[in-house]
Amino acid sequence: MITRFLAFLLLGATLGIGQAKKSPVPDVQEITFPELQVMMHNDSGKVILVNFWASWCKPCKEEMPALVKLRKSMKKEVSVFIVSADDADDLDKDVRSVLNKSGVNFRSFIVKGTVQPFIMAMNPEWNGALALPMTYVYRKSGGLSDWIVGSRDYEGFKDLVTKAMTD
Amino acid sequence: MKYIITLLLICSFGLYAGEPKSLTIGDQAPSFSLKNYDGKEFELKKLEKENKFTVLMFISTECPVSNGYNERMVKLNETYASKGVAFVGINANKEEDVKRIAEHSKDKGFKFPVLKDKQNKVADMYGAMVTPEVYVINPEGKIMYHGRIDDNRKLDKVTSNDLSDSLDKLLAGKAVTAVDAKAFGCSIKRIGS
Repeated sequence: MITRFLAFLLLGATLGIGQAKKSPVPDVQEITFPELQVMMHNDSGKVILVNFWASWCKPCKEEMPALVKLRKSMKKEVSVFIVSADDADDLDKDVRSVLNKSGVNFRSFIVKGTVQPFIMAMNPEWNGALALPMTYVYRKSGGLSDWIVGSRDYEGFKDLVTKAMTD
Repeated sequence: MKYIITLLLICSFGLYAGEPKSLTIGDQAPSFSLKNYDGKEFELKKLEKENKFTVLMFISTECPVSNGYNERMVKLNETYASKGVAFVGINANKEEDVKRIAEHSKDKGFKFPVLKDKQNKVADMYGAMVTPEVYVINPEGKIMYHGRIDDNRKLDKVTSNDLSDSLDKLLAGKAVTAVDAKAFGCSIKRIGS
């Protein structure tokens, strides 16, 4: 019986059976707004920062390392969700390339479908244009602390998060 | 009960704060006077009176999204100029000077003026946030359409030609019934930002 089992394992290894397909790096998951809400809820108790960006957006790329630093330095207090507004077919060539260069070695996200309805769902009174980068910061209790358009450096993000922690 | 509390917590992440309100369909377009890159002065009131419709396009020389629309803007101008529609570019980005705007306009074959909005005063009056972002104004100075040119920065993926569809309707004397399609692109780099 044991011999048969070992033979099966050996055959499986030879044929590649059970070998998980290696996913591209860095990990980027397609996400809908309801899925994001659930993930944010799961992290309630922490300040939550949601950053929308795109590979064609220069200031978005410039501020990405600051977000990576923030996530690392305030891991216990803050959850950082980096959400790409790019088209899905830009994922491999453009999105992952920027994430790699910026040191994003953790799971980030790309909007599933069209971006406008996603933002509309997140912010029903959003009246302006989709200007990136766009960042939302939520208190530990879940209420919105800040909503900003335009880039920030590390200190800028830290100020936003600190404000959300003391609100 | 637990379900209700969970639902309330999830919904609380949908809260929002304020953002500068952009002018939109039905609002009165604020008047202004700005200079083209060649020094010629353009006054909105005059443009409104001389044309069936005036299209203000907030654009950029550097933004990849705005630049993705250069050929489309040239074609729109070609198509609608003979129908009484005036296209006017406005550059409100603080880092893009008149010299750069002139070079860019000539290089891209723009036949429409591109006005320099120094200190982004016009962008502020309209609440324009991104490039490209367009406003269609009628002879009475009323905004008839506001938002994007179309729904994709990649021409081969466009499924909704919002600006040209709106212009066709307006020229045919019909109202634009669609909710204004939100503009998307690079944020306008304002003074002090």
